[in-house]
Amino acid sequence: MRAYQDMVFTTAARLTGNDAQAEDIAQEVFLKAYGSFENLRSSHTAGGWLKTVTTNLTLNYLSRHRKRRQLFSELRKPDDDTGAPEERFAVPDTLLDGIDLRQRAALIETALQRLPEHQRLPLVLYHFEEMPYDDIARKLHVSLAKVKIDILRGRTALARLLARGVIGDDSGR
Amino acid sequence: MKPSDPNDKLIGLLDSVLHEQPLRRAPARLATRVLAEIERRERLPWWHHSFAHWPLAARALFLILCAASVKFAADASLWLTDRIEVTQFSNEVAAVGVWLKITITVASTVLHNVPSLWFYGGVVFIGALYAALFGISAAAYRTLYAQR
Repeated sequence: MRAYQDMVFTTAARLTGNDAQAEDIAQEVFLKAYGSFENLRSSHTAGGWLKTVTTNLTLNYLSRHRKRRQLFSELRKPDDDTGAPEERFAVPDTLLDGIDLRQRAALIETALQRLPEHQRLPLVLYHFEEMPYDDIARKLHVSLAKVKIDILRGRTALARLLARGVIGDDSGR
Repeated sequence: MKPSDPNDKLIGLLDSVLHEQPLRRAPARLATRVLAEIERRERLPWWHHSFAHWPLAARALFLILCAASVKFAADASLWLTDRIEVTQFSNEVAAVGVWLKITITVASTVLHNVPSLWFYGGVVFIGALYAALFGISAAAYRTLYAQR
């Protein structure tokens, strides 16, 4: 468990954008792994198995919570704006220059947490889980066009947050 | 996309930055939490676990009891239908029919004699009550649950 706990926690934390939820999900993942311990003990693909289970459990968790929220709070679909004009952002050449690695890592994690869920999820699945666009669309139950637009806008928003520099005092955990 | 497209530069930059992003450290209490939960679950009696994890004898006994209760229910319903007098049953049905007729007559008389303003007012009042109930539930959800 100690060999994989950082990977499981990081995957859940990046997808949820919330450490407490990520911890709950990581616990659930390891309880499932304990149930399949006999199969996993000798398996060379235990890491992949854990990563897949983490991603699926997190997406299920977020989907359940989204449905509950939408029942009362979001009677309209705020994310369904694929027809809106595409945003452009000129990346400064000095973005993240002169920031030490640890601070840079903390900044990126904070910026990811700040992204709205409909941009963070596809962005994390694409960049960190290396999932192709159509798999992301299938997992998130949205159209391929929406995935592409959300990733594009997510990147721009992330770069804006990073360019704004140090996002206040809460960049450090 | 044009080569000078700022999005190309952005993609390249984020690709490399995110690719190099190290894993975050899991909270130290995670392992303790998992072990505590495993111990808690193992302390639970067998009947609190899912059916697949019950002892074989308990599973077999449960299935036999299920089959026996189905058989008992079928036999009991046959026994009851044999003993109910058909005439008695029809009298019961007829009595229900009479009550139904009386209720419909009363409701129709009331509806025809109530002024339409009162009728529509009542409908609007009931609708408003439903809307208020929905609003209160939504507010309670947002205040008590969604903000947690």
